[in-house]
Amino acid sequence: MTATAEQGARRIPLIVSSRSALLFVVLSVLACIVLIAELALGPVAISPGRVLATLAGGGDAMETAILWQIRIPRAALGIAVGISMALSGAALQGLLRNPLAEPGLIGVTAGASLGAVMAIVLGGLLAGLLPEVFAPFLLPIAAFIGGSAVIAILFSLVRFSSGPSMATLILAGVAINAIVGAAIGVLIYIADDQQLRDLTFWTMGSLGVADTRLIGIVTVLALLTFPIFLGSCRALDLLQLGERAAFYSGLNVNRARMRIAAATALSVGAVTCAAGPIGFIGLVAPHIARLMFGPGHRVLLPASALIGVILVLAADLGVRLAVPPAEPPIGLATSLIGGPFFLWLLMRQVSRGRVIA
Amino acid sequence: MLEARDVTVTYGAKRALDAVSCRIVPGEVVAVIGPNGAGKSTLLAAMSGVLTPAEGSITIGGERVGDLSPENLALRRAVLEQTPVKDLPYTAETLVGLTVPTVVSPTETGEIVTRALRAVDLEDLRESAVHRLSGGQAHRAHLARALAQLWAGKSLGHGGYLMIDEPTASLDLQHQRSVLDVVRTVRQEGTGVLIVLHDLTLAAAVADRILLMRDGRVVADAHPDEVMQPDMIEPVYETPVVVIKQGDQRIVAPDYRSSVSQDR
Repeated sequence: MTATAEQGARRIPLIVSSRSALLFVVLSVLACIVLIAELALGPVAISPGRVLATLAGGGDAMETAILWQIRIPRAALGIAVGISMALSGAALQGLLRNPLAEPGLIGVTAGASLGAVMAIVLGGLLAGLLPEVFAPFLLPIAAFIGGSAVIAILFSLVRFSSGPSMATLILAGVAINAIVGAAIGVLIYIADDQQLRDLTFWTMGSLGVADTRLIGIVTVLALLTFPIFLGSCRALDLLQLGERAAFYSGLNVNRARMRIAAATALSVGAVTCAAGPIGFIGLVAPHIARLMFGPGHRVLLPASALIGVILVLAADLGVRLAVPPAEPPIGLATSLIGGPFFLWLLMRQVSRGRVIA
Repeated sequence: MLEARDVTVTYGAKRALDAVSCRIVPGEVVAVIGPNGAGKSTLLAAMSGVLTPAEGSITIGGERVGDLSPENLALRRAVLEQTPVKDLPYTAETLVGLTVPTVVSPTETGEIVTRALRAVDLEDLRESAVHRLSGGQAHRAHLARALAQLWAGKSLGHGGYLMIDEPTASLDLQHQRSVLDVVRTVRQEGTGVLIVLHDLTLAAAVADRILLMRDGRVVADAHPDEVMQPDMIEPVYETPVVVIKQGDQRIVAPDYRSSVSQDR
């Protein structure tokens, strides 16, 4: 390590520590393993060697069809969901200075869901009004608007307090989730049979989306927000000092907040409209990352994204292999694991006297 | 020069600041004193740029504070809040380096951080997490952060001003002393300091000039010897005080002898 690198390490201690680098390598290898398993395993097992050969263009017709039409879109959506939910969770936790903030708990996912459900049920009415080019974007746009609306409501709620308290956020989340639940109920009530079936499975969260064009769109949208989040690392670090101190330290607080909020709404909206509400990844992934790498966002964000991908792909593998060839929705698995994790986190906070501050 | 001209700040119908003017030149320490609700912290907030005044202008080095971006403002002044966030997972040295702009080289940042930690006597605790420090230590770490920002601004060729809001509110004597030492150090380097103080004796000891405020107005803006007189202080604080001269130090304290409690 050169003298300069050492000074860099001095500055933000975790950035070049060899332990962090090693952990990153381990996580990357783990991500590759679950990705290959996601592509290889299923009702028709394809060996990892055949997967690589098929990817290179040398597979037979059946392998090619299975991989390109089913498993690769599924894996791509899983990666997009993992990255988006983990980064959104980490960024919201940093922005709101609250370790329990998560897109699902505070209602952002619900807002995006409402937008998407409205697009599914009422989209037919709009389809004639919109130019043909917009049709594939209707769902993502509706979900983005829904997520943005919830973030706007949350910001106006917490605006006048010095720091958004746990109670305010969770209660706002309860209210928003209740309102959205009722609104979705109304939409389900007026939906026809086919829409009803679509909606029911959609609300449980699944990576098994048939529409590969939609997957392409949301994956690109989700990946586009990646640099926005990574560009907000210093802002998130400074925001930990409180908004006023962050301003004193040279941060344009309003701009940073808008940028992070927009990226969150866009990425949560994008993956939610395709995969449905997939809970708790935004809570669990950043927490594991924080335990492994510490609080600095420059390491925390990419680590969260990597862990998010591993969790989503592993959960998807789990539900697909549990009762083959049936595929229980992945949202059930993430909530089954994430719910107890949230309770554990809550109890830890309570025992430290930090909750409902 | 840091200057406020006829600055008015309103909260609804209340005038928190009413046509206040004041100026701080480089290398000068101005202490703002006055009873609770006099507008001391509001003045500091307005001069730091976080609060936009309804009327009047605030300039720093001739540039209007409202026209400067937060980044540029941060190069020209550093601020220590009254109650900085203590519950931080960062180590003391990470905290201190956090507000140094990224354009400063890592080597220089490291030097600035070390110097700032030494100035507040926290070098031994540089790798401790801030939330594990005592209240006084955490406050000192934040003071070091403001110092590091100030010095980083200077190294980038900008004039420096330091604003500190009631630093001694919940701190023991030793820590109050360290704040005093820091203020004297930066003053010698040519930094202008605006410091809000409750402790009148400390204000008299540290300030070149004292701004006595009441109800959003400046009652007096003069040398400590002129302001620290019972006939200046008593009407503003509505309480009798004694001023004791000891060498070149003035000790200002409430005069409890005239309190009704004596008669009980």
